[in-house]
Amino acid sequence: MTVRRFLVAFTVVFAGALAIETLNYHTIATIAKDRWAMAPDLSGALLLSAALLVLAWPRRASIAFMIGAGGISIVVGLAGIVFHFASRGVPLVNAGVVTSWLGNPPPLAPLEFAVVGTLGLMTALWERGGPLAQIPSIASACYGLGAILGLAALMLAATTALAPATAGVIAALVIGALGYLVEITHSDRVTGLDRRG
Amino acid sequence: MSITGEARRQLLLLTTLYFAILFLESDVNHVPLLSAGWLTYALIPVVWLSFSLLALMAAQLWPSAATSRLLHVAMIGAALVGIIGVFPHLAANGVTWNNPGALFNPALLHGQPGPQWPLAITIGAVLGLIGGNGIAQDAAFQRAAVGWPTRIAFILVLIGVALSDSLATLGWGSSVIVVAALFLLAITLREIMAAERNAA
Repeated sequence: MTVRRFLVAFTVVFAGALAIETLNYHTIATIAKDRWAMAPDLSGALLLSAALLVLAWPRRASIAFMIGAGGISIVVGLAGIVFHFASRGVPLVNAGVVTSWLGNPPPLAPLEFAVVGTLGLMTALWERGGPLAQIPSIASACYGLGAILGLAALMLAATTALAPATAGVIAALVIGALGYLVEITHSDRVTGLDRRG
Repeated sequence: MSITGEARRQLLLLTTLYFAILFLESDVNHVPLLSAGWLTYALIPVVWLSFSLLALMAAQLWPSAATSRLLHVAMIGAALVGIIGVFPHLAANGVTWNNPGALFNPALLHGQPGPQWPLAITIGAVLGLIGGNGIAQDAAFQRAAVGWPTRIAFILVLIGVALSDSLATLGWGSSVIVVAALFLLAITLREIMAAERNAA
């Protein structure tokens, strides 16, 4: 197990958590008024799916997909600050007024998407961080299934079926975690064999 | 599990950025409660996130065994603050010993405050622990001095944290933290791209 693979797995958890968070809050807050509010739901599920795909099938194409998903997440994060701030009806010149930053929607929270997108970019581009392959096929299958579920959640979120989309993200996280468990167990066994050898 | 050189730099920058976001989100919601004269324990995340930010910046500016240990203490504390913070947030949503049934309310995750929000601090602490692990042994990281753009971003974070202590200057402090966070994001992306160019 390399740090690089761990950080990709961490990106899965982080993006999944953010996707669930926005699927929860944007449902009640804004999607009825503004369909653009589904952008973070989609980008969260996209990055989750891309990172799981890299864990399952670490090839040039899947890494390029993750770089793209990370880039989208960064853009969504930066644009989100503007939308969250503007949705209060506060002019930018009043940014120093205390009330402009209080309450909902939280103005800096969208930047968490930029953080997770940057983490995705970092792990995708960090070639010296060790190999991304060398995992048991069961773990690979779990990650692959997780990636498919993440994509299904993405499509459900796009049709504003937000409850099933949330369920899809949670299922992707659970199956991804199962794959990670298999991977860690396998790594320990390999290390044990190496020691005995 | 350890990380070296450029990747450590990127990860610690990213963690600093994440903690700046967490600080602002925690601060703008907790400081007004404190100023209203109640919930003094709401000060804990604000204070600990400030300390964590200082520890993160110190580990990058002066990498040594001492700052590495300080960062470990800060991150382990942050992980605990995040986990323990779930409980007061649950209580604010009506989950108490007398009313445990509220825990199974499907609307709980939509709560204001969200009971899951403090866990974001625990997530950040994991990144900080990985980034801080083995700093004292990482010669490549110690050799590479922190650049001026990063130092300026750190100064902005410090100013933002200092201004955010009082309700009167909270708005300005928040604005400075936002500028610092955007600056840190730009620096982190630049570091990632520079590392890629060097590798090529």
